[in-house]
This record gives sequence, C-alpha cells and structure tokens, in this order.
Amino acid sequence: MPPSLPPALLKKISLLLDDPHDLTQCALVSKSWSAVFIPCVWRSITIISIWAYRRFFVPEAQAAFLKHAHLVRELRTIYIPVIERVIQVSPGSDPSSDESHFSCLCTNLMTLNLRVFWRTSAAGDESAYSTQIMSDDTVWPGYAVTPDQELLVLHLVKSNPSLRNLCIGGYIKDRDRFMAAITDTSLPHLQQLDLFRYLGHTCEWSPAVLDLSRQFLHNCPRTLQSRSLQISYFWTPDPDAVTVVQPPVPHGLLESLSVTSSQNHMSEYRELLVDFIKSCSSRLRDVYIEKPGRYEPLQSALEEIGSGFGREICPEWYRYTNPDETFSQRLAQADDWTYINLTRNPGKEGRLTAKAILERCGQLKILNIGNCARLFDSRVFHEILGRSSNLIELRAATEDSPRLDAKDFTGAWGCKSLKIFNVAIVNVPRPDITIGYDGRPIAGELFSGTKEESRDVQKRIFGQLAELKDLEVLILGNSSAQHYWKHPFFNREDAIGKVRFFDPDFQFSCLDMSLDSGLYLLSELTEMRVLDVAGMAHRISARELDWMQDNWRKLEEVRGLFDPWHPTLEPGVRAWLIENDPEWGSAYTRDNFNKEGTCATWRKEKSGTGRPPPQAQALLEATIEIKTLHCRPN
Amino acid sequence: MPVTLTSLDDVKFTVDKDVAERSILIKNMIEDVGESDSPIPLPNVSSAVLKKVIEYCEHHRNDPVQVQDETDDPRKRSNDIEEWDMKFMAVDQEMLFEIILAANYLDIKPLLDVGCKTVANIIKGKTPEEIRKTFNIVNDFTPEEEAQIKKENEWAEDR
Repeated sequence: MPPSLPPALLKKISLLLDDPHDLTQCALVSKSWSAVFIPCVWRSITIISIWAYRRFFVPEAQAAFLKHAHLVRELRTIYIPVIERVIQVSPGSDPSSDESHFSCLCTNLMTLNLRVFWRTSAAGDESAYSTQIMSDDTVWPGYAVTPDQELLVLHLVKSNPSLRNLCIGGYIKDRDRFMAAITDTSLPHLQQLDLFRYLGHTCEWSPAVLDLSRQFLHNCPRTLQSRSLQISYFWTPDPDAVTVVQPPVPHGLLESLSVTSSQNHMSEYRELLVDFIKSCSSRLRDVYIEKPGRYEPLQSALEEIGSGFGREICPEWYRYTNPDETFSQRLAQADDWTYINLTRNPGKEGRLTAKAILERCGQLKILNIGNCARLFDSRVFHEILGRSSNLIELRAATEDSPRLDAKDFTGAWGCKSLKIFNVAIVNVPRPDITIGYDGRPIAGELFSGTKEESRDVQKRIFGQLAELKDLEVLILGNSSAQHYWKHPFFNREDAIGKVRFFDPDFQFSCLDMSLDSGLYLLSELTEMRVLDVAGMAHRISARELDWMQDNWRKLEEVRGLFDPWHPTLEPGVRAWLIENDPEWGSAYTRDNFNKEGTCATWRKEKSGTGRPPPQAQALLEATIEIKTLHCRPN
Repeated sequence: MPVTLTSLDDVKFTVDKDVAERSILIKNMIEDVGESDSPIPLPNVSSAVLKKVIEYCEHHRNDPVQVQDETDDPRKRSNDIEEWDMKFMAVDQEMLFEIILAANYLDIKPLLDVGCKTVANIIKGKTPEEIRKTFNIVNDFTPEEEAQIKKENEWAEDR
C-alpha cells in the first residue's frame, strides 16, 4: 500500500499554505484530506469582494458556516449582512434593551476587521442595500448603518475577548457611545486598535478618544512586545475635555509602539504618550508617533528610559517625528550607522538627510529608501553608489522611490560587494515602443533616439552592473505590481465610482534586457539567483532565456517574465517556458502556466464565476491589445 | 562512539553518535538505556528510507539544535528551503512521504519541516485532480459530495 500522511502531518502542511485557493483545492482531494483542510478554510473569513459575498450566501456555504463558525479566528468584511450571520438576534426581541437576545456564533476571533461604515446616515436608504448589491456588480457597498447594526458590531466585539487586532473603519454616527462601549469592553490581548480611519473619513474629537487611548495603552499586558494604536479624529478644541492622570503600569517588554492619530499634537494626548513611554524600558526602540506637534517631550521621555536609538536600525521614530534637520544631525554624529531604513521622506524634502547619508555612506551596509522619492535625485544617488564601498543591500523599489537615470551612468560605482540591487533604472531611450499601456500612442523624450543610441546607453548600464560581481538579486522591475490582482481592492470601485486598479509601475523607459543591448555583459555574475523584470517592457526572448540558463547556473527565480497584466513583447517566450519548464520558474512563469499554455490564474477565476471579473476582463483585453500594438519588432 | 541502527528489513547501519542523535527518539533511547553496544531497532523504517535519513543527518550533523517551538509562525514561508535540502528532497512521491513519516517517527524536526515544505510547494497551484495524481490518492468522494464541498467553500477562493 502506498504511504499516506496522517492527519497531524497534513495539518502541519496546511499551515504552510497561505493562499486560500490552495486550501480549498486540498479540501476536495479526498475524505481524509477534507477533514483536515476544511477547518483550515474556515479559520479565516474574508468577504470583501462581491464574488466572495455571493458565494458566501449560497445555502451550502451558509449551512457549512453554521457548522464551522466556532473555528473562525479571523473575520474581515465590508458587508453588514455577513455580521448579521455571525450575530443572531432572537426574533421579536429588542436588542437595545436586552443583550441576552444576541447569540454570537464566533467567539474565538483574534482578528476582526470591519470596514462597514461607509457613509453618513441618510434617511430612507437602509433597505436599498440588499437589492442593490444583488442586482449590480458595480455597486459600492455604501449604505447607512442603523443603530441596531452598530449594536451588532459592539456585541461582536464584546463576544470576543480573545481579540488581538481590532479594526473598525469608516463613519459611525454616535461615535462617543460606540467608543465608550469599546472602552468598557475587556480585551486583554488587544495589540492593535484601529478605529474610524477610512477613505478620508475622520471623526470629530471628543474626550472619549483620550479615555479610550489611555485605557488601551494602560491595559496592555506587561508581556506585550508590540502595540499599535490608530484612531483618526479631527481635532476641534473642547474646553470641557478633562485629563485624568492614572499611574502608569510598567511595560518593560514593549519594543515597538505605533500611534497614528491626528490628535497627537494635542498636549493632553502628548502627556498621555509621554507617561506611557516612561512606563517602558530601554527595550523600546521602535517608536512611531504621527504628527506629535512638539516632539521634544516625547524624545526626552525616550532618553529618560534609556532608549538608546539603535545604531544599526533607524528607529521609526525619526521617520515621522524628527524633521530633516534633527535626523541629519543624528546621522552625522554617529560613526557606526550601517543600516538605514527610511520608508518615508524625513521632513519635507529630506535634503539634509540626503546630504548626511552621502557624507556617511562609506560605512553603510544596508540602505533601504523605498518610498523616499524626493530624497535624492538620480545624480546624488549615483554619487552614493560611487562612495558606498561596503554596501551589500540596496533597496529603493516601490512606486515612489528614487530612481537611477540612464543618462547619469558615467562614473564608476564603489559598491562592488553589492548582493541585492533593487532600483528602477529609467529614461533609457526605447524607440521600439510606440504605444502605452492605455493603448494610446506615446510621444516625448522616452521614445526619442535611434535603436543604436538606445543600445549604447544600455550597454553602458549593463557594463556598470557587470562590475557587481557578487550580485545575487537584481530587481529592476516592481514585483509588487504583479500582485495587484490579489489585492483586496483590486477591481473594486472607490468611493467616487472609479475603478481603483491602475498600474503606475509599468516601465517603458527601462532596460530591454536583450543580449543585443548588452545583457551578455552580465555573464560573470555567476552568483545570480533572482532576476525581477516585473512590469517592465522587456524584450527577453527564447535567446535570452537560453543564455540565462547557460550563464547563471545558480538562478532560482525570474519574476515578471510573463504575467497576465504585462505580456511579454517577444513571441516564443511562452512556448519556451512550456517546453523547457526551467527550475527557476517562478509563480509568474511556472505556476501561471498549464500545459495548454493558458494562464492558470485565469482558469481559477473562471472556474468560480464562469467569467473573470468585468474590470479584470477589460484589462486583460487591454493588455492583449498592447501586445499586438505597442511595439515594433526589435 | 558509533551507534548501530537496525532497520525494518534488518539492515544494520553504523553511524556516529552525534549523527544518530539528530533524532530525538534515538537520543532519548540512548539516554534511557545508557552506553550499550546492542543495536537500536527501528521497526518502522525501511533500510532505503533509513539510508536517506542518515544521509540527511550526516549533512546536518553540525547544525545548531532547533529549539522546540510549538508557537511557530504558521505563516512562515515554504520557499526558504536550502539548496542542499531541496536536492535531497528531489525524490519520488513515495520516498518523500516515507521520509516525512520517518522524520516524524524518529523526531527529527528540521527534516520533518523541510519535508512538509516540499509537499506544500508541490501542492501550490494544483487542482484536486492534479494533487491526487501527484500523491497517488484515491478520490473517495461521489461527484455529488465533491460538488457539495465545492459549494461550501467557494467563497474562500476569491479575495
């Protein structure tokens, strides 16, 4: 008899599968597999798309929910009817007067994320919701939440003392009552509290905010290592606001504190935070406090507890609280910074910071400047690379990061030990591309220049990259872009009815990655493990793929070679992938293909609804159009 | 000091004690019995599998001992398998399951982990039929039962 795995081992395997689709597929394999995997499917319920919503409300799924509700640990939804399934009210009772009429099916939740409060109440549209939502794919689930429904949400919170993460987004009419009710609820394990923040909705200040914040901070268990508080309020001065001082409880183990709240600049609130910081120990190194108004009191509190501000890690603190000047001073004073992690510009432009980094970059080992678009221009960036002789890891690739301009590749780089290079290189002339991703012709500098000029520029860039002999990871594209279709709000409409999907990361003026343009210069990068060209208008063809197979023997993964949104410009890549089935096939090469050469991702979508989501279909069609339109043969 | 292990089919393997003690089961047995020349019987493991397991333990003999941690992050990635381990795990499905079962029986957590990760990676992106075919599993559902489970869980596929 062939060996089979016992349930305990299948369970272990289930924990390694993070895509719910894989879990549902496993549940269909056999009876013994189904016994293990069905509970895994029900562990986390996320109903934020209309497709999931419809499938959740089919009778079979509802019957299964009743059976498995006790297994649910995570619940995320934007639909009140989902909550109405979780909390049931005895018929004929008045829930506002007697809570015993509620019964909650889920009482072991660790994460509750409800973004159901979309709009201010408007009389008369309560009943429109369910009919609208079932009749029209594109309707935004915005509707008035009735006081009864607010009660349901409160009861759901109260029924789950195990909660670690609580997020309630949007607009609630009677916020004070709501906040007071949450404040009264004992949630001893709560680590993250995130209230009323969504799509620009913020609420007016009231003393309840301070009370809730204080309670949340002071009640945090002493064993807690990370705590995050986010309450979005408009601050309007309230003469009646009363500060109640409570003796702080020591929080010696806390390492990370994050407070996102627009009233941080208010002195009472700041005092609360100062008190809280003083109750912590020197372990607290990672502090993020948004808009504190004056940061000195907070900083002296941190100094008082001996929080030494890590020498290797740039504390989040600096990102938000210190203006450019203070950050640059700190940077200039310390001789032993080796790791800088900035994910937002310090201060307005960050010029002083950029200068300080430039002056000290010789000692840097890791530089992460994602999202700091204006921190340096391309020339300063090149200069930093010229001086950073110890740099091992460079990450600057998100949609809003500094980029290297092709025309600035003139001097030599000093960062010869670089192992990870993650920067977009832009402004390469690409006369071969004539039409943009929206299908319209593009004009302008991007497309100026001849094919020869384009190749000269690219060879210079490849020549520079070829010097990085230790390079293991070369990320020129933006691999996050290709996961957009997985994003919860992908193919949704936003509050003003626009389709949210957009792709700012498609790079046209990038390296074309072809051998003719100089890819062959990278033949000595024998340590190469990962190449990322996601979202790039690259021209990798079967020839380049053969070359990579031959020259980069350690190659593990090529990302973005082909994906549904950015079809490759070169014919034959798909056929090559199917035929060669390379070991380095990544999620977007190997997994997305089946042997028929269609994209498995689409197969999955289609199996559920009979058709891809409409916006996605439109985009798919648009990208197919690009494929046929927007390039000249190279 | 070398230790002798006897497999299910009565094949004897002599290995160094530190190699054998990658298995917590064997380590505990040696501790319980004390120093002894008599071979340790492993009646649940065939010689073919035991040979593979010993190969693994020899390669990893100098690894730091993993602390038993039941609160492992369940979301830990399944794609962080070392190159050597990946090659080691490139065996047919039957052997892969045998290795996992042996690792479980012998209590060799790192080997069990890498085995489970390998299975998880194989599962990813596959349809139920492909999974059955890969792992030699008989579909014991009726078409009606299958359709029912599909309906019950379909909401989870689309996020």
